[in-house]
Amino acid sequence: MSKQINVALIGNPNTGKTSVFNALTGLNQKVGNYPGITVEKKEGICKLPRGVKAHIIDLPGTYSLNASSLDENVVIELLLNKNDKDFPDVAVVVSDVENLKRNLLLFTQIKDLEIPTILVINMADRMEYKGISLDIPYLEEQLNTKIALVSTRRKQGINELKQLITNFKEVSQEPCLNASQVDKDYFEGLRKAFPNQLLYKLWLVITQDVNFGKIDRNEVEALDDFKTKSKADLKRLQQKETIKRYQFINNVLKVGQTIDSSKAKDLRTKLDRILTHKVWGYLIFFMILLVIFQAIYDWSSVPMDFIDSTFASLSEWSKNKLPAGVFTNLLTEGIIPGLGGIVIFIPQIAFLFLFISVLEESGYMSRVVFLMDRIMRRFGLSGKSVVPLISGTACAIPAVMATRNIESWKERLITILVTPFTTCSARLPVYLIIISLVIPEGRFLGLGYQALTLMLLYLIGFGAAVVSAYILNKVLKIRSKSFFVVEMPNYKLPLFKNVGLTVLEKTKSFVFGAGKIILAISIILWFLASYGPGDNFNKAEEIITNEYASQQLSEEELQQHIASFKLEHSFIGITGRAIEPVIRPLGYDWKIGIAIVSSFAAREVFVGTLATIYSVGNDDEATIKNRMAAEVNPILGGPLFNFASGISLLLFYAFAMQCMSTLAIVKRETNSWKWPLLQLVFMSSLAYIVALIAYQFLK
Amino acid sequence: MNNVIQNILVFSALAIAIVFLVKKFLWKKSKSKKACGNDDCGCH
Repeated sequence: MSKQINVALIGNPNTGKTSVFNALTGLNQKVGNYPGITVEKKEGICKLPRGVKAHIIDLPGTYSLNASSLDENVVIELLLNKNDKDFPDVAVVVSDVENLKRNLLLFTQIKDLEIPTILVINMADRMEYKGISLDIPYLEEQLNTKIALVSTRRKQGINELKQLITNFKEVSQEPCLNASQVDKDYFEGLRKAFPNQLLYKLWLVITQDVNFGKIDRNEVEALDDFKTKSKADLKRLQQKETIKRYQFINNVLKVGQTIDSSKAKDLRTKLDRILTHKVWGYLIFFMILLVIFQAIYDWSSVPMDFIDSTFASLSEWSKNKLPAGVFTNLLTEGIIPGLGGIVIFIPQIAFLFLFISVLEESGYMSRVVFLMDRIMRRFGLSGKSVVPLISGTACAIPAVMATRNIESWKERLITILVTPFTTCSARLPVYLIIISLVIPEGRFLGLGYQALTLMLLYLIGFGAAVVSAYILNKVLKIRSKSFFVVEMPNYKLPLFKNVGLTVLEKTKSFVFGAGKIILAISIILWFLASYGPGDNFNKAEEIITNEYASQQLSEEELQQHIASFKLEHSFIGITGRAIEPVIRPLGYDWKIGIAIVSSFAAREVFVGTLATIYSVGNDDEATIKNRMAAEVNPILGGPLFNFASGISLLLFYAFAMQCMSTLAIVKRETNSWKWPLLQLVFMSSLAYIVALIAYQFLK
Repeated sequence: MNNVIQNILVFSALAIAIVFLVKKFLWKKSKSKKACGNDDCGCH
């Protein structure tokens, strides 16, 4: 009768364990269920040299012996129960050559159960593509095992594996890691209480939530002369054990495994080598940004013009069709222009998120995170800070919340404080309208000046965040440790559905989130601009008619003067005049001042406010842009929105903390008013100073 | 009559707008006493 040995095939999911099982057993296999549960049990027979037969069980994939599912329990139950008829004479741990570090955790745990364990390093054919080389004798020595380098795809290494299984008695049963290193006193107590049991086996019984075989955890807990630890303490020891194991694995692989990415040949590696290159990587990222911003301008000009003229016509049509009166005025001069001021930016916002979503879906964004980590480190930020800074291009609120995964409090706090500098979508309407007014439409090397300006503003926002982080890193005296781990997904073609849903969701939240606030503020602003105290407002017609009686003004010109006079003496005009001395050095008039104050609620309100203010008393069919372009500087003459005041305004919005919601979320995340107030004062002061310097220098 | 109705509509719209903004920015819902991390703790 030929001899039969039990072999357990164990490994992490996706290591090609089933391929190894198939290669060993061929057609001699059957599939059933483990008793009482629905976990699949695969077993088969493999003929080995010298007439030996192996009964092979393909155990469910597991990451470690710390069971978290029914499948994983099956593995541990079998390995701990020597009386089970399937208890292995030899364990074969299958690992993937590309994820050796992660796979070896399970290997070291099984070794510590003192079962003869063979290590299969599968997918060896990928080594050449990935630039991986292994020092097998060194690894065998350090891991105290025999290694089979296998490629089931190329049918290599299977005979060597069969040979190793046949000679399993030659495989060392010595553990890799002495578990008692984790807590010597505790393990010593355990050893004394159960002198006949294997220490690591006892440790597994204590730390798992189930009983295994003949060892009952209640038995351990009931002992008088051994006090086990609380669940929390045991969890901490488990974590310590995992860290010890990884330290051991790292030291072994440092010598036994070499990864030379310059020799790698697969497409992903080739792309990674270019996209994360220390020169080409940044250049490509910069070029991609250029293309995105150019496309935002070129592709959205037609729908934007259409929306702009539609709202202007709707306002005019409503004025003609509805009965004359104050509510009609509110609709045509307040609500419709205010809403038009936000709807017009839908095409550009949709295109921006279309590109961001495509970059995320394709896997490129992770490379950007990796690429930028090199820069981030120098400024006291974590590589993980890049995610909030990039998602800050949508909105600072979710971006601030996204800092929760940064382990170091100091890095997290700095990221929270500097994220609002990133150009959020609410700044976009302000930038777009001002750029279209003050930056010429010419091109340089095929790229529009306006697109270049927009890109520059994004870079300024990012630069301000990074420089502020550097200063905060030097100033804040908080001690903390940091590390950076990022998983690079494979490159893939973006799914149209995912991209479409992201664009739809982001655009919807921008329009409806901001839209309600803008509508409410438009109504209040219209009211403040259409009502006023005292005789100057109530008798405006009489005053202006008398003042211009000697001049030959047309009816239209006279109405313009009356509207202008009324606006100046309305509630909003009085408020604007009060703050004008503060903002005049920046090149702004009181109307812009009103827009700045009202946009403290949310930046995008700026355009809606100007649209409302400039619409009041204006009867002609004109777009928001035309009305703003026609504004005259009351002091210097000439257009109010000229190059100097425009740049000053752009810079003011690039740096100012104009968002109440962001301040509220910073308060919540830092659990203190100290940080949001500091942020408000710092950002507002910086914005004022930079805008002042820009205007005074350029005027 | 038309003027009266239009004035009522304007002041109603103004009142709704003010109430909306006050509720949005000044008047906050009280937070749940549950610890953060639980469902419906008001932190998510």
